Amino acid sequence: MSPTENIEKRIENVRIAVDAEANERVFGSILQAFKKSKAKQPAAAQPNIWRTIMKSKITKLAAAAVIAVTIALSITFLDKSVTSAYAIEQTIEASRDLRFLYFEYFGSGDEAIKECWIEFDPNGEAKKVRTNLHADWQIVHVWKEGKTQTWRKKENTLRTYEDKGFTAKILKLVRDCDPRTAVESLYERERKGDVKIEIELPANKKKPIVIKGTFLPGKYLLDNPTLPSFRNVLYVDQTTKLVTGIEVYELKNGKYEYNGVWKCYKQDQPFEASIFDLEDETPADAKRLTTMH
Amino acid sequence: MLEDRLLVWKFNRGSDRALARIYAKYRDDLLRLAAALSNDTGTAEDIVQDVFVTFAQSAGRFQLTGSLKGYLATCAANRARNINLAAKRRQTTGLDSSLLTSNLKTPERWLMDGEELRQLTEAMAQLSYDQREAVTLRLHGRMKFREIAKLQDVSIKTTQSRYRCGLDKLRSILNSEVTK
Repeated sequence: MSPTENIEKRIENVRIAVDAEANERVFGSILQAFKKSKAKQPAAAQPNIWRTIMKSKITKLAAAAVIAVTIALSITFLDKSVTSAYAIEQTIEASRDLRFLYFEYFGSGDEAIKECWIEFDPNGEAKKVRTNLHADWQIVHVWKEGKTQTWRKKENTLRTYEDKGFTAKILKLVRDCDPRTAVESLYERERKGDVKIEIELPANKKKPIVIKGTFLPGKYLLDNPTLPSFRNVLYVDQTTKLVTGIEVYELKNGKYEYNGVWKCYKQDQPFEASIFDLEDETPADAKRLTTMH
Repeated sequence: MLEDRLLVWKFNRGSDRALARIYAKYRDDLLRLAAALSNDTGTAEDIVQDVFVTFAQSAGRFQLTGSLKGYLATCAANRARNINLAAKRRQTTGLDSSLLTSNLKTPERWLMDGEELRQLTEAMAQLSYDQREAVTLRLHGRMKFREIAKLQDVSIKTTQSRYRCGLDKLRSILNSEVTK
């Protein structure tokens, strides 16, 4: 090593020690500034999808229409023969401007964040999807109209391929998460015999409808028959009929234990194009494999 | 790089967790950089806190054009430079310059002086400010010479020369400490 490299390394390798308690206080002041700044932002900039829906004129009108039919729906809601009424066409109208959705999974422990970006076309069909469902970005998938890119950090590979099975899984994930189709998707699984549904319809219209879907062992995921029973609890806004959150419970020692919750955020602006393209973010020395049929 | 872009995206949408991740990711680098630039760990703490507070206040409208680390390093360098200029001005107007750093120190210390950091800070103090800045931004801020030259408002060659001269001087200072 040359003397220049030596001194560079010595400077680079200087380590610092930080007092954890004082550090926490410093971050507290940063967080406070952040919260103040968030409070100043207009409501439209807030991320929650449900607030955004009620701000739009068209969705307000549609929501008003939905209120008018809420009573009728509520009466028939417990009858499963009328589940098609719960296809909530009015709601789809109310939420037709949902083009860009972001989901985040808040786990009960310290596990890695799971997240998902979805871009829909004007007809509400999923066009582009990105999922980060593994710790430390070990595996990232980007799906665009049938074509998939999969980045595997450990193997340092980027695979581009067409796989009907994967496309089916991605579209299933979208239907399960999309606030417009999550309930319908659960009923589809019920018709197949994979899940049992229970509904709690509170008299207080401000409280959400609670739909519990208990999956039989091995039926929670399409491709993992070894999984135990899971329960998804969907919270449905009584006014908009949109799913506002999905809690996940896992059967352990005879009890359903809370696993985490999926939350959805509406994005008004299109996502950056780079979110749906792994080419640029993949290291230059990564192995690039392409399989197309 | 893309992780940063996504973190910024979430940060702009009000995610506390994204802010915490950005802070945890770059805090130490910025502290080292600020300590080397300011020759004072108390001042370094203030610089880093200021940088992150300002960054936090930009939520919702922050736009990342280059690297996030480069952006934060540039902010820290600009603050350190302002403090340095203010110190110089006070010296020329006859004020007691020792007040500057002592006033800026936080009552409860955040950054604990390690031996290595102390040695480096002392050695850095003997470089001209421009040399110190070039060395620090290059080695702690991981900035390109082009970016440092832009910040210093000089040509790339001048920045490279400041960097080389700074390293030569540091080598002789630190080596002489070892042989003492």
